[in-house]
Amino acid sequence: MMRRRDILLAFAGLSLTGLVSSRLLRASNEEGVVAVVVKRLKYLKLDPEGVRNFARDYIAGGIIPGIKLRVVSAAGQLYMNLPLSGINVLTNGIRHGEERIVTKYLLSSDFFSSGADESKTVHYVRLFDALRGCCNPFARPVVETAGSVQFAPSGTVKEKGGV
Amino acid sequence: MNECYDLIIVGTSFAGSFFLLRYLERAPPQARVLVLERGRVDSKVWQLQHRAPSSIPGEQVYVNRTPLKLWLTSPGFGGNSNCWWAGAMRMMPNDFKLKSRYGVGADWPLEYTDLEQHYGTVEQVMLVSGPADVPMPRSRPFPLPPHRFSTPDVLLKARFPDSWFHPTTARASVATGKRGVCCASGICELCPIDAKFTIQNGLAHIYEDPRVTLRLESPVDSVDISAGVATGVNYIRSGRGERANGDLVALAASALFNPHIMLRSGIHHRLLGRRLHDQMEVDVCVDLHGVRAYDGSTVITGNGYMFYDGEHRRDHSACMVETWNSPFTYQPAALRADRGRWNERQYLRFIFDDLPREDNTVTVSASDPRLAETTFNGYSDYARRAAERIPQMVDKLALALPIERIEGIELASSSGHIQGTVVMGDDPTSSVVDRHLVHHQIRNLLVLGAGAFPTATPILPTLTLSALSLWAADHQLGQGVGGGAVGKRAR
Ligand SMILES: Cc1cc2nc3c(=O)[nH]c(=O)nc-3n(C[C@H](O)[C@H](O)[C@H](O)COP(=O)(O)OP(=O)(O)OC[C@H]3O[C@@H](n4cnc5c(N)ncnc54)[C@H](O)[C@@H]3O)c2cc1C
Repeated sequence: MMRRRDILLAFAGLSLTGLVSSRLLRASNEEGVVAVVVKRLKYLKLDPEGVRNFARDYIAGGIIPGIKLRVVSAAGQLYMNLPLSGINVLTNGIRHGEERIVTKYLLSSDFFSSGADESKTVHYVRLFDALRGCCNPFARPVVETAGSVQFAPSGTVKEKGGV
Repeated sequence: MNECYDLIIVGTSFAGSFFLLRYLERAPPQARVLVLERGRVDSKVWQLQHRAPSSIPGEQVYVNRTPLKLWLTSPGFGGNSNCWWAGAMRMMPNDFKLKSRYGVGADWPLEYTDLEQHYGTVEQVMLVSGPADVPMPRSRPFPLPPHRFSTPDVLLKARFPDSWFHPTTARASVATGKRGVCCASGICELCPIDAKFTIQNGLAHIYEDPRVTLRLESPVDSVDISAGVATGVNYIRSGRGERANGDLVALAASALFNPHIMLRSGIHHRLLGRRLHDQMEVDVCVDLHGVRAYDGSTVITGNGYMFYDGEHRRDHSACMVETWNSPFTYQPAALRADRGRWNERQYLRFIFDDLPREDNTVTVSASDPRLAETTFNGYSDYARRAAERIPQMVDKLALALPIERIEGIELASSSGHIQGTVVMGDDPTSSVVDRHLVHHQIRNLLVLGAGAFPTATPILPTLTLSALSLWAADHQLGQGVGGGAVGKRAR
C-alpha cells in the first residue's frame, strides 16, 4: 500500500517537474520582467509596448539573474495571483527582487516627471542611468532657485618636468 | 646618471598631494621634487565615457586571497579621490584615546588639538559643507553651507537634536564656480557633474609648480636603504628599471601599497603589513509609514552620533549612522511598489569601527612580487558585538521615524577605507612610524596615509589622513628650513 502511494507521488512529482521545466524552457526573461511590472503596478495605466521595451532594455543590461525571471515567467498566473503580503524570508526576498524592477521601471518612465499622476498613462522613456546626472526625481537642492553649475571638463593634467 | 631630488613622493592622491601642497608653500625656489605615479591621468571625460574611475583594474595591482572582502583602489593620477564619495568628517577627540579612555585598542600618539588647524585647512581646500553644530570642536566655520536634510532627517533632528547632524562632506552644497552642485544622483564614484572634491578638480595646479617633476605610469618597486638612510627609489618607466636619488622619500601609495613597497625594500617590522582593516558597515532598509524620503540635496543627508561615544566603547564599537538619500545605484530596490508610497523607504547605514586584527594582512605576492596580496580573516569580536545591537538601534531610531518594518539587513562588502598596515606610535616595538609619520629607524622615510592609523573609528578616514599629511609636512619643514633634511640639496 505504502509503496503504491510512493510510486504515485513520484509520478506526480515527475510530471510537475516536467511541466515546470518545459514551461521554464519556453519562458523568457523579458516576460518575467513584464509580469513583475504589470503585477506590482496594476493600479497604474501602463503603456504595454513601453513596458515590453523596458523589459528588453533591462534584460540587455544583465541586471538580474535570468533564471529568477524565467521562474516568474514560467509560473504564469500562479505568480500573478501569489500574495506576498506575508513577512518571511521567502516573501521578503521575492518582494525585494520585484521592487528592484519596479524601481528601475518607475525611474525609467515619465511617471515622476509628470507629477506622479496616477490618472495619466505612464510611458517608458529610456533605461534609467544615474550617470546622466541630476536624475533623482525627489532630490531638492539647498538653494531652490540656483540651477546646478554645468560641468565643463577642465584641462587635463599632463606629465611634466625634465630629467 | 641618476637624478637627484630634495623630495621624492610616491602617489598623487590625498596623502601625497596634501603633503606636497604644504611643502611647496615653504620650500625654497630651487627645491626639486619628483612625484612618481603608477597610473595615468584618467580625465573626468575618460571616466564617464568608460564608466570607470581608472584605466587600471584593481586585479592588475593586487591579488585578493579573500575576494568576499573587497579593497577598492583606483590607480592613477588622483588615486581614490576619483572614486571616493567625499564624506569628510573629523574624528572625535575621544577617538584618539581609545586605550586610556576605554581600555581597548591603542591611543594615537597625537591628539585632536594637534590636528585641529590642519583639519580646517583641508576643509578649506576641499570646500567642505557642514553645519555649525557638529559635535567636533572647531575654530572656524565650514567653507560651504550645510546640505538640505531629507524629511526623515528632519524628524531625526527633532527627536535627537544633540546627536543628529547634517553631513560634513566635500560634495558641493552650493555653486563654487568650479564644481557642480551635488544633486544626489547616487553615483559618486563617477560623479557625472564633478560636484565632489578630487585631486584633479581641486589640487592639480600644484603639479604645475616649476619645482615639481611629475612622472606618470611610473610604478615604484622599492626604496633603496643604505646604513639606515633612504637614498632613493627604484621605479619602472616604459618597461625599464630607473632609479632616482632623494634626500627625503615620502610614500603616499595607500595602506595597501605603502607596506608592499616597504616589504619589497627589505624593511621589516612585526606589524608591517598587518592590521589591515576598514570599518564594518551594515545597511538596513526600513519601510516608513507616511513619511517620504530621498528629498534631501545630497547622497547622504544625515549623520547620527547617538551610538557613538560613551562607556559602551569598553565592550563594543562606536557606531555612526548615515541616512542614504539617493540609493539608486547600490540599493537598487530604493522604491516601494505600493500605491502612492514609492519613497516611504529609508536606507540606513550603520558604520562600526573595527579593532585591527594582526591576521588581516597585506604581503608581497609570492607568485608575482610586483603585486600586493591581501588576506582578510574577519572583523573583530568588538565590532561584531556592536553589530548585534542593530535591532535595538533601529528601535531607538523608531522613536523619531514611523518604521513599519525592517525590509532588509545586509553587510557591505567593503567600505573602501583601507587602514592600519603601517601603524604609528611612540614605541618602536609596537609601531612602524612615529607621530610625524617618520619611520622609527629610517629617519628620512615618511609613510603617509591611513596605514598609520592605530585604530579605525566610524569616521571616514580621508579628512584625517589629509590633515596628517599637513602635520607631517610641517614637522619636516620645521626641521628642514632651519637646517634639517628638507631643502638640503636646494640650499
Ligand atoms: C568607493 C570608495 C568610496 C570612498 N568614500 C570615502 C568617503 O566618502 N570618505 C572618506 O573619507 N574616504 C572614502 N574612501 C576612502 C578614500 O578614498 C581613501 O581613504 C583615500 O583615497 C586614501 O588616500 P591615499 O592618498 O592614502 O591613497 P589612494 O587614494 O589609494 O592613492 C594612492 C596613490 O598611489 C598610487 N600608487 C599606488 N602604488 C604605487 C606605486 N607602487 N608606485 C607609484 N604610485 C603608486 C596610486 O596610483 C594612487 O595615485 C572611499 C574609497 C572608495 C574606494
